Amino acid sequence: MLFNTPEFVFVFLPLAVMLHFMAARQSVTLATVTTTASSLGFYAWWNPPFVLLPAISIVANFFLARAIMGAGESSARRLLFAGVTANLAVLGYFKYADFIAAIVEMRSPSPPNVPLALSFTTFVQIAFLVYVWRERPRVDFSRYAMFVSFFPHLIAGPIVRWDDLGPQIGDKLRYRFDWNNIALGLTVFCLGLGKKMLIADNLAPHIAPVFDAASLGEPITAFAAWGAAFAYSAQLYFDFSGYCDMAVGLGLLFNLQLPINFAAPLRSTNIIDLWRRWHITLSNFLRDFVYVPLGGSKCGPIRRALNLIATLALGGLWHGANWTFIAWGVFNGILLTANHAWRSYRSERPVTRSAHLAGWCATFISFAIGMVMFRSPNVGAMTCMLRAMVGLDGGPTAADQIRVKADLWLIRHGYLSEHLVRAVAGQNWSMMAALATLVALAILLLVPDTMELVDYRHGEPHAHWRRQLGRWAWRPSLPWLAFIAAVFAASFAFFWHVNEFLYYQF
Amino acid sequence: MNFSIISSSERLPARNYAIAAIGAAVLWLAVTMAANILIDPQGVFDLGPPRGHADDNVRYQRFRDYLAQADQYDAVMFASSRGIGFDRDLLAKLLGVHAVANFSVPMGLLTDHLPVLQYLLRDRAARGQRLAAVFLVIDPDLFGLPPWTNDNINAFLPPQVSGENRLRFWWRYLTVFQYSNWRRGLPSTLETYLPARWVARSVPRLAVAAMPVGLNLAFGQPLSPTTSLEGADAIQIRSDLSHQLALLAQFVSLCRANGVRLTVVFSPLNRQSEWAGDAQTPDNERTAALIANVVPVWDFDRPEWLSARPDLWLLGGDRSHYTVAVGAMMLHRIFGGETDAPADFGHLRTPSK
Repeated sequence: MLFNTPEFVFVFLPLAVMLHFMAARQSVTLATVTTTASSLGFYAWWNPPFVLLPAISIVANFFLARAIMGAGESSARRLLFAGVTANLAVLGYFKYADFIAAIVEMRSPSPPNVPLALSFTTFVQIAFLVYVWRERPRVDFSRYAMFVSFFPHLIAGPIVRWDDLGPQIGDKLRYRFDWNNIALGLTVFCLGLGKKMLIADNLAPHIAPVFDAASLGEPITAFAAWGAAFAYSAQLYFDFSGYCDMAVGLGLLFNLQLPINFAAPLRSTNIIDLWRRWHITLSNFLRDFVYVPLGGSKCGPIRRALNLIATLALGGLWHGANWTFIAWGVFNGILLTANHAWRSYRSERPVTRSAHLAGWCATFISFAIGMVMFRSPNVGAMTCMLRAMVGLDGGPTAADQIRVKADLWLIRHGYLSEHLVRAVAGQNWSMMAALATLVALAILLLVPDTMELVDYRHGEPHAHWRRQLGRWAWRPSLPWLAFIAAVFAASFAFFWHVNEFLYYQF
Repeated sequence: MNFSIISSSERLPARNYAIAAIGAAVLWLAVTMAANILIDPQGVFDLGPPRGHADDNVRYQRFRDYLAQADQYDAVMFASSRGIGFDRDLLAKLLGVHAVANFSVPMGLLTDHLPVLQYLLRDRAARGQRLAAVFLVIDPDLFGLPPWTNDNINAFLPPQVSGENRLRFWWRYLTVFQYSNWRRGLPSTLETYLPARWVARSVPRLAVAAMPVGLNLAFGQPLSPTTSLEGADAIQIRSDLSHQLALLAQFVSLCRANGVRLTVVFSPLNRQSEWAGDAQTPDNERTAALIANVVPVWDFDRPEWLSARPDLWLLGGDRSHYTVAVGAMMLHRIFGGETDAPADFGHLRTPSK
């Protein structure tokens, strides 16, 4: 089930919230069991037999955690190692087995068929096992099952930690119905829904033809390649941050605070800050469980560079079994290394306004180049796009037909020259797509983010990214009610065109 | 301890704010459901007196028509909208059957026909009756294009045929927001109850005024693929060709296994149609050859004399749908009988030819 469907919004969600609080009147345990059942039902909607996978995984990890809690230091370490290995083995089997086989057999990998949520639940449970090994907390099964399966974060994060969400689930005071959190949660949910339905999904149809053409090796103009790269950067941001906003909003309906996953990252003026503000919970996981154990930044600049590149490459691989993701990770690792080197060189000199602007341009352009790697279905398409971006691709000939319809109305009515469209945008991009991308980027840069608007701060890396909003800040008021009702109504109109969240595939 | 993120001393109490937000959402859903039931753009609810629909789900309507008189049919015709060119009484006579059920649907492809055939065989067996003959019309210019089946609100197969959960099917038709279809269907709905003159004068203005300008622009276009293929500007690629061929093979096997007499026919094409023009011909011919490798087909090609006779095509500049007169020529050529069509109009293609 997707968050952006009528059956979720009007049937599942009200039922799940009502059942949770009705059960909570009896006991906290009953409420956690009820919401766990709702969450597994939510998962099963996608493919009922596959619900066994998270169910078995939850049970197995819980008993492993119990064993770790009761074991001596060396046994606990061995159990932890076995648990982490087993979790990674399951992930590896479903996600990477065919990729590795394809490398050995020197063939193209098959299209991925990964059970929904596996990547996220694996990381959540690995972090849990490590926490249990370090802290030896008391954990009961119903709380743990709800912690892992809680439907707002189950499918695509944020990647929650036991030391954050576990105590909340165990807190009896959170099982009282709270209108303040309902009001805030509905607002955050609607704003996230708007990001996804009104912005991200309207960019998607413009982007696909360009990347499809690249995968077929067809010529693409530099304008189209850059346009698609910028558009996809905006689409991924609005799609995934919209999803995370919705997850936070849903969590609030249950009086649970999920961590912020995005802190307006595309406003960052350097790549280090961008990765602190983009998919924050994954960045934190990679930092804590890969980068730091590798030695982090304590072993000198060269070792730090290698650690960074290895961590980011692994982060890329987590997104999918494809060389393009590894290339994306390595590319970002190199960018981070370069940024650290630049910082060392620049030291603490004051930064001027123009330097800020130059920093933003360099950061965003680098990010967009990375997004080309991220979005391309294979290395061939990625190369084709990158070549087009530096003008090494000739672009379409004059005889080629314009394939996308977005500009046809403007051309027919004389507002646009067909020759100009063909020469600049080519066959697969359009001036309307460029305009839509500019609008999305303007929203991204100028309009405050959901978490700024509602002043939600749980789990944010730092507060430097926030702007002063004054009277624009959210409060339960009639204008805000009208605004979110309008956003919901407009989003509802697009419910028919259901598009999965991009991060569901990971 | 208070876990609220916000303070409750704001201007509008959070409780009122939340209840109003939930109420607005529920109201929006209720209005949508009411509009879908009352205006019924796809003609699936069919409550009240019969009337025209803005965006018919012909797949569903054909199925409903079949169920209404299921016992009298012993043969069935599968086709795209070009099935309009066949007189089913004549077809029944030439096939030697009692009556032919009509399953010609817009952009009908094997993704539509095969599930219906499977259902019909089950249904006939349950009724203790058998299906004697199947007449399958294939469009060589459209075969292999992305199918419309279950892809748009006007192209969902009935749940009995698709196997989809019935609740899901009806929930979809209740909750789809389809402003442009409501707007187009409203006059027909109101005409059922109000004087036509009043409706003609008032409804367009009413419908436009009911929505802010922005939403009118956003939802002014009908949900694709309600527009005709002939009007499409983008190049169509036969991305579903191998899938359709596999379904055709299944279709043929199913007919053979159940002793159903199968006749397969290629629609004749008009040379002036962009889908049968010179540039498209080699692709159509390749597709036709692939189909003929699966099952013998009566091929009516794209004869020049037929393309030059506008009276043999539907009125209004349609160069895609031939008239019943052409259909009769085809049927007589296949099953025998008097026809004034040229002698070379139609030949049986088999894998060896």
